[in-house]
Amino acid sequence: MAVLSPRGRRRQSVGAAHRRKQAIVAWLFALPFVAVFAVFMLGPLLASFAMSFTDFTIRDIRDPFAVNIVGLDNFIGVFSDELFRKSLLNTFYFVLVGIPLTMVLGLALAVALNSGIERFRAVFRVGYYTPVVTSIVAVAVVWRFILQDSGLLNTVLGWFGISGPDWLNDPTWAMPSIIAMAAWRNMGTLMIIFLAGLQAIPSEVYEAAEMDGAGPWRRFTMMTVPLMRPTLLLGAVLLSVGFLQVFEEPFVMTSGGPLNSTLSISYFVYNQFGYGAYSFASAGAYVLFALIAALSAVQFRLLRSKDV
Amino acid sequence: MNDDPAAGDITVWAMGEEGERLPDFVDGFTQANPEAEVTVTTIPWGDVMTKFQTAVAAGTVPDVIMIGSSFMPTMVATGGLAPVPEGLVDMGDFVEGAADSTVADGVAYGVPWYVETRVLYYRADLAQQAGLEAPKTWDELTAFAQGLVGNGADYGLQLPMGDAEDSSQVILPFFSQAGGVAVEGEEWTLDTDAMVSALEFYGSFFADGLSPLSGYGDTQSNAFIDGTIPTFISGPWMINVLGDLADPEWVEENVETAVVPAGSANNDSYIGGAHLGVFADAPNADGAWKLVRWLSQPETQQAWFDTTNGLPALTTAWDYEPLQSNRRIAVLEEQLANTIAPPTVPSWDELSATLETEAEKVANGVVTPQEAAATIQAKGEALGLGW
Repeated sequence: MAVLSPRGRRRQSVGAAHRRKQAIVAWLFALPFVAVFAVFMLGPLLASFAMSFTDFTIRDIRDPFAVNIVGLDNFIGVFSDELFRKSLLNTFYFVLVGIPLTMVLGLALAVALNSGIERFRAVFRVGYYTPVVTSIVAVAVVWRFILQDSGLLNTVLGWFGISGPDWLNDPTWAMPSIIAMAAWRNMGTLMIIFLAGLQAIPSEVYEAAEMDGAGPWRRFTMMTVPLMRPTLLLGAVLLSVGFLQVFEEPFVMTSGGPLNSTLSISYFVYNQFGYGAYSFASAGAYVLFALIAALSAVQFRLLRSKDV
Repeated sequence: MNDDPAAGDITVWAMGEEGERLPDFVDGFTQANPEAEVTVTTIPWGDVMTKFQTAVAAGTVPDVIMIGSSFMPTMVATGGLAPVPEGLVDMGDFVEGAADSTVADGVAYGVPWYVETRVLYYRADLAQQAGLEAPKTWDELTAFAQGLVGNGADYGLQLPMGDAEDSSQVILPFFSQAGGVAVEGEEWTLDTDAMVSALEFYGSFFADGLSPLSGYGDTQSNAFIDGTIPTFISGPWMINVLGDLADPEWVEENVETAVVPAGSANNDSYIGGAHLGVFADAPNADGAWKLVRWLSQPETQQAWFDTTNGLPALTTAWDYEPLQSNRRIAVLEEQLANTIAPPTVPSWDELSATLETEAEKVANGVVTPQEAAATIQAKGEALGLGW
């Protein structure tokens, strides 16, 4: 690799040839990743996109090119599928309730850690971040123990004379249970991001506000929140991309039940792949992709706006 | 198929305990066929379909595969399995429900290997206290459940609920017990009186407070052992599950099994198990079928029972002392005469999810059995058979 040898190379050669050489070197370093990405990610992504316009099913796997092109039939089929529409509503419910809840919890934790409890900050940071890095399967065991009909939560409620529902098996309460679990799993991530944002706010700003007689709540609403806006938006973007794809929680906790009340879009697509309806499932996956892309575009526009 | 000894490499994919026991077990085959060599790869149950599809799509397949009976239609749909050669075995020698479930689109694509069927498990001690005998009909099952509740049990019978718990494995037998046939010719026939009575019967246990609306999967065995729900319908493996949780001696004394109660037509019970199939692109199809033929002989099936407790799919293998001397196996043998397998069509997988959800709605009082039967039929017509 003579290219890499710095010796004997003229320092001032920053011509086009040298830049091209540098680019080649950079690409060589990136090659392993690019190759793996192309074969295992980009290829399937494009194949799946192409597939969504055909009638490819499990019956065609021995002869994948003998399929018919059916235009938008799969997409029409997805939208006219009652179960898909239900999964769409379920996912919106999860996102619209779950994101604000997780954001509020994450911000509350960050503010609490940022003020006062200097000494135990590290302990709390680890404690609240643990759910994020714990295996969902282990988390599910604990949450099932809490939420079972005769579980911990209902036992505690019973002490106060409240007869709690069968959280995971009641169509009304299953989704709220799933949302609570998802919020608990994700608030740690937001806490870390928001904590970084809070610590970037100079303390002089607060001191000035205190001199002017602003109380803690007013300081929070009039200063912390506006100054944190980019960070809050970043949290919202990250969270909505993840939450729109919700799959793990219903998969391990309720299998999409009861009465399909926790069936998410991803879960619907997963089931359709299981039934061998590959082109139909691909269409469903690309509908989800379009949703995430649209929402992200809106959020990035907000992020970029000048008055942030 | 000729009778020359098998030769060459024969590769086999098998799952679970069968996959672990088979490598040593096939020594009997290689002794009789010294030119042949058998290599067994154990595959986790969860990865079977993915590996199967990948292999078929890429054309790099082994020779023989163990086929969980419920995977049969999907595997046939891929075109990856070879039809069973004429004269390899006599399908009439096998348990009827198992032989039926190897036939997809009119052709047999596998040879039944071992079978399991579901029977009624009940707490004999509690039934005796309540002055009850094992129920033989639907009405008696309801009375049995009521009697147990009257004797202090929380509920009389455990029933699975919804797609998560594969409730079609009890509802399909109810449907068959009421005289229902899921597929006639090329058509689904699910919006029938038989389906309505099956769903009514299933739903009645929840409506009358004889079955809990939830908790089947989590607490089934414990609720049975502590007597809060002293009856359920399940397969032969539950004896060991209960024995591990409680104590094998206690199980021997207090747990009885019986054939499932009969509806207006019969007392068909769900049949599962596994078949043996050979890939359409198998490199050594001749050796593969000879190995399948060897595994389907009465002596081999009896030795296999001794190795794994897998019940022989071959009826002629049942004339065997260890199988005849056990009261639990006697019940299973009696039940195996009346079984129902899921329809061997690719769309059953998806349709059964609809059946399970609709039955869940019936149990929750959201829809009537008539409405549910119509919804299930409509879904069936939208899906077709899936060939």
